[in-house]
Amino acid sequence: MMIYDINKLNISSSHPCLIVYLVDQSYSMNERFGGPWRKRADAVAESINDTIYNLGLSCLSDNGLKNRFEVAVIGYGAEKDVVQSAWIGNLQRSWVCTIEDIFNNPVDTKNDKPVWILPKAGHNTPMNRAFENAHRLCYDWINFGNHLECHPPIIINITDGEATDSGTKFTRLKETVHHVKNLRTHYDAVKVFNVHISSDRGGKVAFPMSEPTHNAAFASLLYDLSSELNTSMIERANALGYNISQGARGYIFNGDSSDLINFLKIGSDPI
Amino acid sequence: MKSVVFQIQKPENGEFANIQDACLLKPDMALIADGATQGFQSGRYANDIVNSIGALKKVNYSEIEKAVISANSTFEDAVINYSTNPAIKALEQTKSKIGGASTLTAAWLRDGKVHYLNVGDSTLLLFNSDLELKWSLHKNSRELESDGLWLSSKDTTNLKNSRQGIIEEYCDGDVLVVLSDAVAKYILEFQEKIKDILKIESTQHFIDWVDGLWDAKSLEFDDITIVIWYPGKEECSVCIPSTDFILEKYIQERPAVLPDYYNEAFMKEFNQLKSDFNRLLSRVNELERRQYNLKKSILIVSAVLIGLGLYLNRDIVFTETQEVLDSFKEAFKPSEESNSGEPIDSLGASFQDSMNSLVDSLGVHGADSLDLVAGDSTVND
Repeated sequence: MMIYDINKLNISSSHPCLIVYLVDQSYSMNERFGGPWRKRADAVAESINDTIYNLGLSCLSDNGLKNRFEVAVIGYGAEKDVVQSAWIGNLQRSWVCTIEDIFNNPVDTKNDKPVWILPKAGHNTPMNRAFENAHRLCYDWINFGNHLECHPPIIINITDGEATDSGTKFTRLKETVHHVKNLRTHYDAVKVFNVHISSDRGGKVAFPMSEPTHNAAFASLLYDLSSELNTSMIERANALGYNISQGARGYIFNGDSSDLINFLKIGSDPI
Repeated sequence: MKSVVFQIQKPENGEFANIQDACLLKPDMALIADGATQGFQSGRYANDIVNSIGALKKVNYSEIEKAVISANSTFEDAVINYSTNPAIKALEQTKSKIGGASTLTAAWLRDGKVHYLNVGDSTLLLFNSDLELKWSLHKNSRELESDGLWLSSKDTTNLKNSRQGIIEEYCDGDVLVVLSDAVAKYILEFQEKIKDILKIESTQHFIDWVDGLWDAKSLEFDDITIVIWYPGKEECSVCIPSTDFILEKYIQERPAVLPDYYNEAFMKEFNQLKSDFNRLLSRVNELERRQYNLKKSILIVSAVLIGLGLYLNRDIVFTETQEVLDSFKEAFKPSEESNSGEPIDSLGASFQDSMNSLVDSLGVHGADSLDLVAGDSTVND
């Protein structure tokens, strides 16, 4: 009998991993964050560009760049109720891109590093639609080629507010995310992580192991929606000073800019 | 009983020439340097280490340390041909600051004793002639996994802190096995499988054995190097494929071209909605065009009907219009009385009569007459 043990799985170009970033592009992303002239949308775009660059570093081998990761960046709310691929330039028509495609098509350079994603802040927060899109994307990805034999996709949702399309008592959003988390490869189920950023310095919740006793109903919702971190993610989080253990959820509420950067580092490196 | 080296590359490395493990087997020495992904051009660094140690005439701890330091210089002094793609060049420049990274496990025979030096998660095991495990560098796979050290071409800290020692348990007739990390985890977990390895007689046999474990998901997809060493035995062989050998099965498994859209269902739905919308839009445009044409037709028909009506009743219209004009003429005709200063009341009565006759001719009902009040004014020429 074949036993699929994720601890024996190496992410490689023959067995890649899909990472999906869902990026809130609602109007409130215009607000100040982590510096007087820096908006939330700027910080998110910069963090995603840095994370993609780091993914590139882990894909660089002696004989070139290996497609160990495939990446989707999905923006929601830049236009009213619209969910769209956040890639621009030559990648504009693509939802999922290989690392090689990504590094062959940056749109700009900043501090000698390539840039792919630009900040956007427009209208409302159609988070449910974004998760619906991520579900379709992950479903198709898992059923393509040998992806059932690969590490399950990881979805990282970055938001600064409540969804505007989550239904009464968030039922619609809960149902959609439940469907997403039910998708799986032979190794494990799709992982969903949520980072909620805020300029409010109080009430921060980071990688909780139980439902936060926070007043905000949205804080409890994000806890419900988030998957547990795996062992190597927990080790990485502890190395970054979070002091967490097995059972911690991939979720931050009211995080600041360094939380955002750390969260992306932890969530985007599954092994 | 002969010493032997087995090697196969991980599928993503393509040709065997791209393997990142380097190894050495001599009657008095066995070693593996496993290039780490975390470093820059680590396969080249692992080779530099093996070549440098292999050139030693006298092997001991300090000579090995010197050989590694010399390999660091060779690696760092080499000219790097960076990619012409600026984004990839940026990656290479960032990673080159980390330097080459490699594990090292070396064992050598001196004065009848086996000495070892180790940094990182390649390992060394000692089996007796019945293939029972007598000694191992890492106690189990968990200890191996947590050993995250490696040699760096830029820093000798880990080299200075290497594990060193003599394997006191070694007896003549025992076999030492040096393993790269993936296969080390497997053997530490299933020690009896060492018997399968010692039965392997050819390169193809070795490839089939590894492939079977990959298929069964028992072994990580990684470069696999195994050195079976009978210390002091002169007979050594090598079971490695040709430099251009490719594991075709895995290349076929992974399609080279990815689809434009993974979320095909979404795009189908989107395109269907778009085409439905365009169809509705063209229908609305068609209806608007028809409505405009209909309005135009109604106007034309109305104009024609009015024209026709006027034409057919031209006598009546002409006569009545003539009468109206005549009555106006009559009403405003200058008279001798008015010229001589007829009182306004008299002129007003005359005008009122004319207007009443006009109203009658136009058929205005509901009013017996039009009352015009002249007031106190007088009409003057």
